[in-house]
Amino acid sequence: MEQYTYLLLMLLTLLPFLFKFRDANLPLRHSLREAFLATGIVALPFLIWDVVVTTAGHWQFSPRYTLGVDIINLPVEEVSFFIVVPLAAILVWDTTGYFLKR
Amino acid sequence: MTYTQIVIIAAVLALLLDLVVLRTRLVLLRRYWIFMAVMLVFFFIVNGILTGLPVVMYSSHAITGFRVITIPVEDFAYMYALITPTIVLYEWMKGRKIGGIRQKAMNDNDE
Repeated sequence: MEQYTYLLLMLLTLLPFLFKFRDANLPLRHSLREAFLATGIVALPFLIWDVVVTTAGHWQFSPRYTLGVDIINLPVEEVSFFIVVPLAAILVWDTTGYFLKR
Repeated sequence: MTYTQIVIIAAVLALLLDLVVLRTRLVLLRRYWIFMAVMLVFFFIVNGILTGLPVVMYSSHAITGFRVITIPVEDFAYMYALITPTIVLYEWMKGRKIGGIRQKAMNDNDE
């Protein structure tokens, strides 16, 4: 079961976004296009960076905690990181806006 | 180049995007720092797990070796460099749609 660790971590990180992206109190509901575009635009250079330095040996991924399914040389979980974390951040950003506006 | 060098460049680029290129100037808002404080909590949990188990293992040649618990200091700049452009682009594109880039973010603030 250990090989699901990184995947599970990413799913748990995405969970609040999945439950709240249509929340009536958040601008996100009307700005999903912008949220996904911003995520995609930022993900691209970070994925290139990741591929290059993984090859260069800056870091490596534990076979113990990943599924072993690679996209180029990155675990599929690592690729999902660049979608999941920015979307989670946008949710936090919108939520801080909501609480400060109240 | 080392991870340390690349991440410093990335963090500077992220700041320039906000202040100079798109002029969203989110880092000047109180809301931004409250947001970052909240993000820091989640960062400690997620990155703590990734570097603690560890899921990701860093080469000692690529980093300074300074760590906060298990997290290399470079990862703090990495989080900043990943998250800031995301929020900046998100607000900038929303501003272009509605009209008034900074105003929208300001209106979302407590003012």
